[in-house]
Amino acid sequence: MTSFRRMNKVLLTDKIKTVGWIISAYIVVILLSLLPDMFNGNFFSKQWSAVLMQYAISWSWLATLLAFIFLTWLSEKVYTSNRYRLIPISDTKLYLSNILSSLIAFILVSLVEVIFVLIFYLFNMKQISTMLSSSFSGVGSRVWLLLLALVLVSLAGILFWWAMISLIHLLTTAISRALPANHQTLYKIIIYIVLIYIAIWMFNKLQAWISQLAYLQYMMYSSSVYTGPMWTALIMFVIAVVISAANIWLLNKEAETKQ
Amino acid sequence: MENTIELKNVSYKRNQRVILENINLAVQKGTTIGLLGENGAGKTTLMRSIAGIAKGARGTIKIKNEAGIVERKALVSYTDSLDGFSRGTKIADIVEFYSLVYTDFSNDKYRELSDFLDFGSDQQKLGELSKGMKEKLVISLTLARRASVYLLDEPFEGIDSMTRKKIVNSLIQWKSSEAVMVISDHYITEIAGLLDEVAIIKDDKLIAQEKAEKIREQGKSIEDFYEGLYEKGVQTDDELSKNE
Repeated sequence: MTSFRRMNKVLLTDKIKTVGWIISAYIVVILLSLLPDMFNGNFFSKQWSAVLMQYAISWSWLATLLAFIFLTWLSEKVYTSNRYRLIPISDTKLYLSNILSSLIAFILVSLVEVIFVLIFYLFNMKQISTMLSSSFSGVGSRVWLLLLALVLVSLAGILFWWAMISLIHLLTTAISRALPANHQTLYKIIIYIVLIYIAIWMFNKLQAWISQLAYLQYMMYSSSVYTGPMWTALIMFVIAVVISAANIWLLNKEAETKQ
Repeated sequence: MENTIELKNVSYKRNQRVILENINLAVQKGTTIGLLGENGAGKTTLMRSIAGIAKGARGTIKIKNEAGIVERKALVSYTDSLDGFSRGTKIADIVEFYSLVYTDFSNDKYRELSDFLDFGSDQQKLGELSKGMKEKLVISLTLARRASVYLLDEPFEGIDSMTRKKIVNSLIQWKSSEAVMVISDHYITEIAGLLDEVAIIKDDKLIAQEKAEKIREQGKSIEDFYEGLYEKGVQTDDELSKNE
C-alpha cells in the first residue's frame, strides 16, 4: 500500500511546481511595476517599502485567484485520472492528501504576499504601531486574535469551496455515467449549471445564517469582533467536512476515471 | 491449483448500456492469458474492473483471495496510458513518480526494460515521444512492478512489427513464474505463442475460456479458434465449466 506521507509528497511536488510559476510571475510583475518608480526616484526615497507593498497588494488578488484556479484544476484532475486512482491507497486518504497538499501550496502563495507586508512593517514599525493603536483603540493586543480569526475564516472558506467544487464535479461525473452515451457533453453542461445554481443558493442561505449567528453572539457577549469570525470559520469547516464525506463516498462508489 | 484471479458473476453497466454480463473467470497462478474480442466487446472494462478503477461493477472480483479495492490495486499492475501526465513531463519524473507511489516498483527492473526496449533518454519529455516509444515506456513502467497480476491492455499499439515481435518474445521473462499476465491485443497471431490460455469476450459476455494447449491439440491455431468461435457464438455453461 502507498502511505499517506508518500501520497502527500507526490501531490505536493506537482502543486508546488505550479504555484512556483505563479509566485515567480507575481514577483516579476511587481518588479516590472516598480520600474517607473525607479526611474522617477520614488523607489529610492524613504517610502520605498510603502511603494513596494502597494504594488505587492495590488497584484496579490491576481496571484491568489490564479493559485486558487490552478490548484482547483490540479485537485479535480486527481479524481478522474488513472495516474492517481490506480495508486493503492484508500479514497479517504487520497482525498485528504489532495486537499492538504492544495492547502499547503495555497498557503505558500499567501506567505509570499505576507512577506511584502512584513517588509513594510519592519521598516515602518513605529508609524504602524501608532496607527494601530489609534484605529483599534480598545482592541489592544487582541488585534492578533482578530487577525488569527480572519486567517481561520479564509482557510475554512477555501476548504469549503474546494469541497463544494469537488462535490459538483463528482456528482456530475456520477450522474452523467447513468445517462445515455449520446449527448454526454450537453448533459454535463446542464448538470453543471443546475448544481452550480444550487451551490450558490445554498451558500447565500448559509451566509445569511452565519451573519445571524454572529449577530446573536454580539447580543450575548458584545464581543463578536472576535467570536463572530471564529464561529464563521467553525461552521464553514464543519460543512466542508460534511461535504467531504459525501465526496469520499462518491469517489468510492460512483466516480470513475476517464476511459 | 491456486487461482490468482477469480471473477464471479461480474456485471457492469454504464450509460444505460450493459458492458459486462455475468462474467465468471478463474485464472491460475503463473498463467499468461489472452483476452480476445472485437472493439467495444468489454475487454478494457473488464481490465478496469479487475484493476479497481471501474466503479459500480457487481459480483465478486478477487486477486489472490483479496476482494478489497486497495488490496487489489496493490497486487495489480495495469497499463496506464499516462494521460494524467502533462506533455512536458520528463520520463525521469514519471519513473520517480512510479517508484514513490508503488512500493513494488523496481528501478533496476525498469532500467533493464528501458535498455532492452531502447526508447531514449530519461531527460526526454513525454510530448517528444512517438506513439510507439510511449507504448514502450508504458510497458516498461507496467512490468517494472513486482506485481501478482499484469494487465496489458492493447500494449503494442503504434509499435512497429519488428519491435513488437522482439517484445512479445521477451515478455514472459519480465514476469515472475507465479505472476499472471492478461494481454488484450488485436495481433493474435503474434502473441499466440506466449499464451497459456485464451478468454473470449463477445457481446458483453465471456463466451469461452480455453487452454492454448488444448486448442493446439485439436490442430487449430488460436486465431482460428477465436475466429471460429466468434462466428459460431457462445459456449454453453457446461462447455465452459468443462474447460475450467
